[in-house]
Parts: sequence; structure tokens; C-alpha cells
Amino acid sequence: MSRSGQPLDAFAAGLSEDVRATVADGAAATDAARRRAMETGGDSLADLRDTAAAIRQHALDHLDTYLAQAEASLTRSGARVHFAATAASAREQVTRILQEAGVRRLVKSKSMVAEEIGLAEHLTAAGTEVVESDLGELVVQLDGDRPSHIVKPIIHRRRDEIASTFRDHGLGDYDPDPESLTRRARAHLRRKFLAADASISGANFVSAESGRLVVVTNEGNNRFGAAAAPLHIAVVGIEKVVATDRDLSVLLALLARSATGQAITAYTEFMRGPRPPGRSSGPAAFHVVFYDGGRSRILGSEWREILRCIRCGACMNACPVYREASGHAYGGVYPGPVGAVLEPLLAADPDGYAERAGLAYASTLCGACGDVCPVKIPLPDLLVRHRVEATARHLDRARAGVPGTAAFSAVAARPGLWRLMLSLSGRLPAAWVERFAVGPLRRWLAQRTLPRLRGGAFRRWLRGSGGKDG
Amino acid sequence: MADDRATIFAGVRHALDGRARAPRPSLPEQPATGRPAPGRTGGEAFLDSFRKAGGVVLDDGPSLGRWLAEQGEGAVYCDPAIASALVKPLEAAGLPVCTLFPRDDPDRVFAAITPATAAIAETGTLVLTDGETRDRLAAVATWVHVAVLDPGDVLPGLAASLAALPDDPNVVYVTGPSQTADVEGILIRGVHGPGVQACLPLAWRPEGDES
Repeated sequence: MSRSGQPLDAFAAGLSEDVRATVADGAAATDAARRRAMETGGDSLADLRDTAAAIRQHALDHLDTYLAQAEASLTRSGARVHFAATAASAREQVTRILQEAGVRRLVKSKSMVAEEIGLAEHLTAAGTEVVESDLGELVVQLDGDRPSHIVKPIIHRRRDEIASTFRDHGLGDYDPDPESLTRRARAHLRRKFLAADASISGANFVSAESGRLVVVTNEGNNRFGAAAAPLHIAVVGIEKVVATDRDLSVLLALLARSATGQAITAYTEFMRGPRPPGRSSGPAAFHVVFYDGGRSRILGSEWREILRCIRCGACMNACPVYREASGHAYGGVYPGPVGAVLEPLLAADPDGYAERAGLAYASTLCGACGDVCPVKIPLPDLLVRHRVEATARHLDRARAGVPGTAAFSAVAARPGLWRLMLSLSGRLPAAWVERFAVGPLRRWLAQRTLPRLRGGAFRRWLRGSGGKDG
Repeated sequence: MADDRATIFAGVRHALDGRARAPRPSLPEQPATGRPAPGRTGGEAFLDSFRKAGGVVLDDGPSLGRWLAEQGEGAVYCDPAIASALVKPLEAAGLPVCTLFPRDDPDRVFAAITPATAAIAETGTLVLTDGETRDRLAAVATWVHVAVLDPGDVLPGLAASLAALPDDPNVVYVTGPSQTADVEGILIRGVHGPGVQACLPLAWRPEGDES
């Protein structure tokens, strides 16, 4: 049990040093790759983030029009389009499509919506064999574990653990070499792909203009799944719609760079209907299930910008809290800053909101997430809005273990007192603050390291520079 | 379900009701980076980026046969549309050729040769479509995939390509071999799709050469 009382702290406190280091290193390396990829593009890529944000916001602000247009375009291409307002409805509709086609075995590529609605678990319980085809998701499935990152689901696992998992599930002798592990997964999944009666995917984007669903992978698992199986179902959040195919050039240029530091992923697939006549592979039946699950509610809320998210994971890679606590600490489907904003909003009832709103307090508000977001979601502002909401609604559970800020506010509101405290802080070692802190502040500090207090050095520098940038 | 559709659209309209709506932004001509180096034609620029993405460029039919014979053992699948020109050099290299992918025994075939619909110079991407790929399973399930490309089909960038996507139910941009970095961030090629991605440009002719 955490001394500070915040659930995320409690989880982080119990994390093994191995897992902490694996997550921290993996996230930092991906963040560095993202930075290199963005810098290579110079100003044009930085400017592109404004365009990407505008493309997404425009699509969301006209979602009524574009969602209907996407439906019409897909229908024209021979796809069957379904709508699911709730998770239960989505599960039920997917189950019905599969039952009507007599599907007993299916392969599934990565889909965050499928995670949200617990699709794989539901179908498995109903007797369908569901095989995760993304390498990371396969490991998680074999282990009965959960993904801890939205792009790199096994960022918390080391190769020796994966080798043990493969050995325990009959995928060969223990061999922790990453290449051997990959070859074994290839051999195992080939059989599954070729035997599958159906494939399931999500979609990264949907073009209203053409109805094309965009699915990006590096492994080619969706390409294989939708080549081998006679039936394909894509489960897609309604917010994924953009106006035109051309918009995708901006979003794709930023998605891979932000997610993995690549200019483009190895496979970028545009799917919009069943295979053409005369072709032996590819789905003969193509279904799209558009899922709401609280998105229309979020669209009308003061957190609507979160719907611009393109699920690149850059915010979690950059987040110091995520790096120290791991994705599992967030307790939901979406970890990191995006999860801290989105998870409370996806909760269908006020109790669920109260339970998850505490995630907004597990942030230093350092701003790194907002700085890296390719669609410029003001994540720190949205986190603060949750805090304001939790305070306004007196959600004590959300604020459990969080030291009050009354004393800080009193000082911050009085410039003279603020200057005095700043100058005193320079003479006070941080260790003393930690030692003499009392009450909730003491418990909160027990798991945090204060930075060195500089006694107003920044203000002095700013005055000296005339307030101008270096 | 019909009710769900009505519920969702009512929810979306309610959320947007009376709100200012952001206008459609103007899009940059060539949004991403990687413009061809000065003096390089579109086709040469594509080959540069394709190699950078991990692709192998082949010269002609005979060298394709010799190179494939070094890559693996077994048969080679050749798309029926281009088989007539390639059977001879492949068989000369001792490679059995089939034009029907043996789905029931896929490991019998280690390489597939299919036509590319287009290519993108900016990213080194091959564009494959159902329209020109008789069997998309062959193009993804083999260890080696060779895309046969008409250099006249090279487009400068993603934007140009996306503005003119073929009217096809399935278009796939393939950029280098299938890969993963899921295990400790270490890059491994050949997860589900080809571990080796190659391109055979058809009768390459420098741009501007009308002879």
C-alpha cells in the first residue's frame, strides 16, 4: 500500500527495478527516435503539427457530416456498415456477424477500440478462437498480461521473459535471441492466419471522401490477416474520420515519426471493401463497426480536443511519470497523459469518473506531453480541467493522497511573499524540505525527489537578459 | 443496429449544436520531408529511398534469377500478368515457377514476384493494389517479395500519391521489409510479411532520354 494514497503511486512503489528500468529505457529511446525524425524535417514538420491539429479539429467539428459521408462511401464500395453506441452493443454486433458466417477461428491485429470493449475476451468466452497477431499482443495474450503501451504493448517485458512464455506455450525451447523469438512467432502465426475464418482490425483513420480505412503496421499482420481470411471486421471509433484522402498525407507523415521515429511504417493499408471479382485472396465480406462508447459525449465537453488523438504514444514516451510508473500503473486501456485525460471521460457513469479522475493528479504538469503531441492536444490544460472538475464536484476519492495547495496558492498570489520564499529556498537544501514536511505533503514527498532549489536564479537571469530569449 | 445509429448521430449533433466549427485548413503542397537530392530524377530518388528503407534493387531478369537462387530454396510464385517475361530467366537459374499460389502448402514457395501499381520517391514506398496483384496472399506470405515497377509510375511524394489513390478496395503502401522492434526495441526483419523486399525496375531509361 502506498504511503501517499494515490493508486498510481502505490503501483509505482511496488514496481520491480527491472520493469521500471525496461519501461524507462524503452520510452526514452522511442522519444529520442521521435525527436530525431522530427528534427530531420526542420521547421516544415513542426509547422505540420498545426495543420494536423486543424485537420483533426475540422473533422471533429463536422463529425455529423463526415461520419455520414464515410458510411455512404463505404457502403458504395460494398462494405457493410454498423453502428454501436455502447461496448455491449459493439460486442453483440461483432458476435452476430461472426456467428452468421460460422466463424470459429479468427486472427486479430492491434485495435485500441477492441481493448476498450474487451472484444477478444468476450469472443473467447463465447467459444471463438481469437489469436492476437501483433507480436507484442501475442506475448501479452499468451501470458494473460495486459498491454502497457498503446504502440509497444510489451515495453515492460524483457527478452528472457518472452522466451520463457514461448517455451511454456509450446513455441519451442527457451531461446531469448530476439530473432529466434520473431521466427517462432512467424511460424506459429502463419498457421493461424491461414486457418482463420475471419480477421479483425481497428483503423488509424477513416477518409469520409473515399471510405478508406487506414491501418498501419510494421509487421504486416493486418495485411496477412486480411489476405488470408474470407471475412474482415474493422472496429473503429467514430472520431477517426477525416475529410479527405489528401488529409492523410499530413497525418501519416506525423504518425509514424511520432510513434516510432520512422518516416512511414512498413505497411500502410487502405481498405474499403471486399476483394474484387476474380481474386482468390482478400475478404469476400467486409464489415465496419463504428463505435461511440462516450465519444459523442466527449465531443460536447470541455475536453473535446482529446478526440484529435491519433494514438501515437508520443505523450507517454515523453512523460516522466509514465517512465517511472509504467503503463499498468494507470489501470486502464490508455496509459500516460492521454490515458489520464481520456480514461475518466470514457467512464460511462459518474462513479467511474470519480474513480479515474485521480489520474489527472498523477502528473507534474511539466508540459512534455503537450510539446510532443503531433496534433497539439493541450494535454496539461486538459489534466488541469479534470482537477478543477474533481474539486468542484468534491470528488474526495480522486484527490486522495494529494497534498492541498492552499498554502502554495496563498504564497503564489502575493508577489512580495513569493519573492521572499524564492530567495529563502535557495538557502534551504531540498533534503530539509523533505525532512520537515508534515501531513499529506510528507507522504507525497516520500516518493518524489525535489529538484535543486535555485532561489530565483531564473528570474535573475530573465531580468538580466531584458526578458528576451537568449 | 438502427437505434444505435440514430443515438450516435443525435449525440454528435447535440454535441456540435450551436458551436463554432473550425474551418478546413489549406494543405501544404508537399507536407513531409525527403525531397529528392538536387540532380536526381524521380525514379533515382525512389531507388535511393527504397534502399534506405531496407529494399534491394535488381537490374534485370537474369540478375533477378541469380539473386533469387541465393535467397532460398523452393519455388517462386510469379503473378500471371508478368510471368511470360520472367519464367525463362528464373528457370535458367534453376528455380521452379508457379503462377497459382499454393495456399495449402505455402512454405513450398519462398519468393513471390508481383507488379507494383506505383512507387513513392519521398519514402521509398511500393504501392500494391488488388487490381494489379492477382493474389495478395502471395505478396505477403513469402520470405522474399519482388515488386516489378514501371519507372514511369514513380510519384514524387505521399501527398501526390494520396491525392490520386487508385479506385481499388485494397491499396497497400509497402516500405521495406516486414519488421518489429517489440522485443526490447531491437529491430528484426521478417515478422509475418517478407523479410526481404526487392524491386525490379522495368527497362530503366534515364528521364529525358527519348531514344
